[in-house]
Amino acid sequence: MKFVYVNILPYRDLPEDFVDNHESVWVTIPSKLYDSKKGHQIFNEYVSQYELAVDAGFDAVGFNEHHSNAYGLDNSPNLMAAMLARKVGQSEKTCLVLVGDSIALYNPPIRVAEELSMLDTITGGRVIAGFPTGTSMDTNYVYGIPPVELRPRFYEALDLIKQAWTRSEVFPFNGKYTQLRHVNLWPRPYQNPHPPIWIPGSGSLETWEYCVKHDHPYYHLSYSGFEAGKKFAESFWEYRQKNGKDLNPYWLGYNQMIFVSETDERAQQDYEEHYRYFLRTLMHIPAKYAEAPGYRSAKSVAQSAVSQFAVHGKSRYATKEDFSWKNLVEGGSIIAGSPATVRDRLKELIKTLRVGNITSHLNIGSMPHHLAVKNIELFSKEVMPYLHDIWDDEWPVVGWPEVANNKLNKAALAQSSV
Amino acid sequence: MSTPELMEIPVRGAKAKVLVAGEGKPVVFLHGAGGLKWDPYLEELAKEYKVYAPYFPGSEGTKRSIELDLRNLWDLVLYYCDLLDALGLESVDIIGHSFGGMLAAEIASTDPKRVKKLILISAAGLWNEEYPIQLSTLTSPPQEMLPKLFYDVNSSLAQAAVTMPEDPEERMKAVLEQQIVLAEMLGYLWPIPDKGLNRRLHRIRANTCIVWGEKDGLIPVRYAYDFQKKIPGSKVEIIANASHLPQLEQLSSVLNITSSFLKTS
Repeated sequence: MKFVYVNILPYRDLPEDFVDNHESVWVTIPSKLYDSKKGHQIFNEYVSQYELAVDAGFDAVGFNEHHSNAYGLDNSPNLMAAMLARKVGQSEKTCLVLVGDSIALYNPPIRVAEELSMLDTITGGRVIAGFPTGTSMDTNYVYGIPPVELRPRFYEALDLIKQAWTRSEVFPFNGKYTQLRHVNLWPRPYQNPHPPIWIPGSGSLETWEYCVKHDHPYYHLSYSGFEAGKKFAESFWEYRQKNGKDLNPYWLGYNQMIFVSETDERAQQDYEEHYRYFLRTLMHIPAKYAEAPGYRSAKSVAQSAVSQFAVHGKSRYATKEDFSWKNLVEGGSIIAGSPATVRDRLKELIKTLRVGNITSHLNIGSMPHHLAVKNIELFSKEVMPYLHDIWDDEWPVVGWPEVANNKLNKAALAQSSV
Repeated sequence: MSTPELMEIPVRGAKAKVLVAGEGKPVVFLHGAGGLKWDPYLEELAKEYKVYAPYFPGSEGTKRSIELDLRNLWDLVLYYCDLLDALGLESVDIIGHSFGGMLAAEIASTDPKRVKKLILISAAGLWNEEYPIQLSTLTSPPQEMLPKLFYDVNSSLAQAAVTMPEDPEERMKAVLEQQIVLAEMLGYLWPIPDKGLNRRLHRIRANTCIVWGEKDGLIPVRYAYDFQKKIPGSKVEIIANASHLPQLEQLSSVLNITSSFLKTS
């Protein structure tokens, strides 16, 4: 069982009345609400939290990409990863997960292949690439990609990056969106042939098809938590089985917000207001930005899969009365409580969803540094060690660098070398 | 209302769909992002002319731009030239509304001999930061969108625009159709709708009439004059009490303008 520490890098000081006076936390949020001194402080605190996560023995630290928003200030996951790369390389087993790079936004996308090669080189092969299509806010409204072009651009970029990583000769790439006469990647990735690639998505069938066809782990981007996850995971595993693929839990990654404190009551006292800030303020995104026409295929629209950001024009979480802490915990949107409670609940989630990778969100909303540190420390000391060996008697690790292999990988390797 | 004939025209190995009605001199109508509907403007026009109204690629079950390998606006313009050739319309009068107006202006700039008379109604295609077109209007909920598109939001016209079929299956079909047309057209408009038309308009040789709703809430009326400045010899007709769909909001007045303009030599 693998745990990835992820911090979205929220801007945590938006005013109380933000939602009443502004249409969106993304795209059009006024820059006058940003305080550069606070920014300096929180960025440094966030990097410290990542460093702590490496020391605390997380299997990986993960980074996202978002633009023009207060929800998550990480414009460049590769830049953040670079700050951690030396420490990661010197750690016992921690890896870097880019969950990830919005490859449709890079021109030429070869830039991503280069930067990840650099990170893989300096860490000695500890990089996992993650390539999402990106949100409509980021890709269409901020970076100006026509919605109908996003997916074709994404798949073309993915193809180019994979070719650049695997082909040893200098080759031309004559794509629809990118034309390069000389593709010739230097440096090469440290891992051979290249870092594992995860594909993050929010449940669209096309993405599953791609993952199954190309043997990429799928990483489910959702904050909806355990209960909503059951239905999703059931259809995911059914889909793999139907396509003759194995049910190794490491093919699936899952997002989970986790709050650990001394007791269940204390968890609510410590964290509720900071999580509420996330729900109320950081998810304040109107439908018009959440999904530009053409962002999803007609097929997906027909299936009525709804973007996690868009429900009837407002964030589904916008009304705070609807969701008591008790409901949020019981419904599994969040896992919160004492170490014992969190252990039990997380174990149940892992087993029920059959998930091998949890991206653990431990710094959420307006959480101040000392609470994030507390959450990371309690999780890594009192929760993670008790769950780490789930699956390892049954399944070899897939989709991770060699350093993350378990005893079954090693046994298989020994067997094949006999 | 009479029923136009739905013609299927082979273009580039796929079938384009065109609504055709009426007798007389041919005139082409290029629809906007609201999709092609056989509305009273086209119905009245078909009493005097032979109206050809093509569905935009992707709508009405036709192949989308990506399936036709149309990668950019240039490809699209040449695709429409191929379609007009296939219809036997080597030189013809063209009316374009909104995105269809942009397309008509692009065709007339690229292939000036193709277009004899050009009517641009509330046309997209230009950009001015002082009075920008807000594409996000088109993705807003009805209560935000309607006041931008209609002069009178309570008119039956405005209400009909947001009324969806009761039957769930029909409703889903209608929503999808609307989404596809909008998405496909936005592919050519995004994120700023001037793709260089501004540098090409001077090439237009067609006799051009620019028709605009005085209160256009999507593409402000000032763009009418921006088009006029760039298109040699063009004239502007401003329609009072109309927003983005003047040809429907003030049917008789726009019809008169259309008809007398198409008749002049």
